[in-house]
Amino acid sequence: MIEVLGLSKRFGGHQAVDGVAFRVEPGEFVALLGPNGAGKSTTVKMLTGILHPDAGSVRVAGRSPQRERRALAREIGVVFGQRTGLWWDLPVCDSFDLLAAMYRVRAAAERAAELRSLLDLDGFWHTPVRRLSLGQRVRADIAAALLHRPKVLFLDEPTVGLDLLAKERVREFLSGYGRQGATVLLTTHDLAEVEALCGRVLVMNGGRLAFDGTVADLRQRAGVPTLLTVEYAGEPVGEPAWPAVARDGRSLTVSFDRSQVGAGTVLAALGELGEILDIRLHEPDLEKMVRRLYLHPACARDDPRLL
Amino acid sequence: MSVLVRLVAGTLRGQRQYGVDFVGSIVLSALVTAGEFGVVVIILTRFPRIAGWSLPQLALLFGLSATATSVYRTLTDELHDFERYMVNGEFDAILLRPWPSLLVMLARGVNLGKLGGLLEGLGITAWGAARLGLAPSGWGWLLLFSVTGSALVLAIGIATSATAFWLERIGELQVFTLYAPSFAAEFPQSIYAGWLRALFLSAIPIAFVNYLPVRAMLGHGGGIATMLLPVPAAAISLTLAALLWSAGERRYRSTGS
Ligand SMILES: Nc1ncnc2c1ncn2[C@@H]1O[C@H](COP(=O)(O)OP(=O)(O)OP(=O)(O)O)[C@@H](O)[C@H]1O
Ligand SMILES: [Mg+2]
Repeated sequence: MIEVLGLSKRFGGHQAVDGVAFRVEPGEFVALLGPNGAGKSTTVKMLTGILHPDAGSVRVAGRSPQRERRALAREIGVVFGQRTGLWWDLPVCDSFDLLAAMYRVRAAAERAAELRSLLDLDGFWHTPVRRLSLGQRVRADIAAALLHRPKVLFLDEPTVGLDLLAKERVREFLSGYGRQGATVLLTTHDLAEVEALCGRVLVMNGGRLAFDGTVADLRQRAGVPTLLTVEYAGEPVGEPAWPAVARDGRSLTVSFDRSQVGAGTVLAALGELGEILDIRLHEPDLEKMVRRLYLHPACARDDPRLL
Repeated sequence: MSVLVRLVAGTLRGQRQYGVDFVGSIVLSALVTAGEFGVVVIILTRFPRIAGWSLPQLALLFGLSATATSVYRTLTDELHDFERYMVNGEFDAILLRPWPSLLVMLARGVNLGKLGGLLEGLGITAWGAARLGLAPSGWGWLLLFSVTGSALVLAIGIATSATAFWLERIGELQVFTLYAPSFAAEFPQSIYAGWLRALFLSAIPIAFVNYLPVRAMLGHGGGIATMLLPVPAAAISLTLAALLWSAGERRYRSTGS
């Protein structure tokens, strides 16, 4: 559904996107992560026909965003969290009427009604867009981007600036939308969102792709240590084979690398030191793993397991 | 077409939300045009003619220029402020629509408040034509010149706005390509220096808006061929402006957020 090869874009002397390549298959919900300035938005703008790349090839829904911008516009939905695609001075409903006409949406009234209830737009359907709260506006913008039943949805930081409740509502909607087999590319800094929604993660850093894989891959391969805490019946005897990060009477915590050794092996080895009453496994959180990729892009790239 | 009508209707509805007083702004824009024509009239109270042109003849020049400029201003509330779209990256949203971006910009920028100037421009032209006792064919020619003149000024405006893709800021350029020339077009070109007249025949082709065809119509130089010149001039100008626009569109840089 999305095919990108050798995509590059330079602004002045600054290489914003540098040889990025990836594919997104129909039905995938993919996160595009990366620190500020990594080139995420620039990539999305090249995929949606806003910017022309300096090099590389792009296909979205079988079309070139640059050569067939207008035809592609009918196939994709785009939401930039900081901007609105709605008519600022008009009521929400008028924007939907205009979009329906522009995109020649079939059964537009039914489609609008459906989105209106899914995204709960009823309370402000007749309110001018400029008077909406941010949370309301983002929901209206997402609904507007879906009005013409796009094949691919691009979301660039859709929930930036929303409070927890508003984020939760958007996330719930997107999760339902993703389950219907939609193709979505989501740019975000909210890793909880990624965990909840995305099967696959792309991480950009300094204009390059630093990681491409599932959340589980990232978890397993990022090399952030997993912690295992074991409570013994009595004081454990001897030294564990992995570094002990905490040892306090009958409790022992060791750190190990999930990519090197399974938790079962570690647990079995720790069982040699005494009778185990209880265990707790601390998975490294996504945040830590991604931060590591942000901080050490080179190590990530040199490591064959990380691309 | 019906989509375009709906987009324009949406734009007008949006302006109404602000309680913009249509009658007020139409009157205001008419007053501005009247004030400008007043300048011409005052000059003529001191000198009976300008470069051999009497007041009714000058009214044709002025009326056609005012008409063309007003049509431009009626259609281009947004295009005229195009540098805002560059500086704020607002053009992103325009490019996401399945429509030619220029058309979307024009549909967003219709402002009927500027119609006052248009009505007055047509009125002054009609007054001049009546005073000169033009035959019906003469009135027909003037109608054609109104259309081609509007197309020419629109083309100049589009080309000027398109330079924003390279320059970002176009406010100063608009003074040179739109304001000054539309003022200059209110007077016979023969009062200008040679290089300026050359400019008005080429890069900023306002001589085709009124001076050349009206002069030919009044029998001061050139025949039917000259009177028809505005047609190809407008077509070529619009084509070049559209080409410049699409070249610019490919260069659009957007903004970092
Ligand atoms: N229009 C532009 N002109 C000049 N430089 C730009 C432009 N757009 C982006 N950049 C630069 O390109 C780089 C990538 O920007 P981009 O907006 O793609 O980053 P991002 O990954 O989306 O970051 P963020 O998380 O902050 O949104 C940044 O260094 C930015 O300053
Ligand atoms: Mg961004």
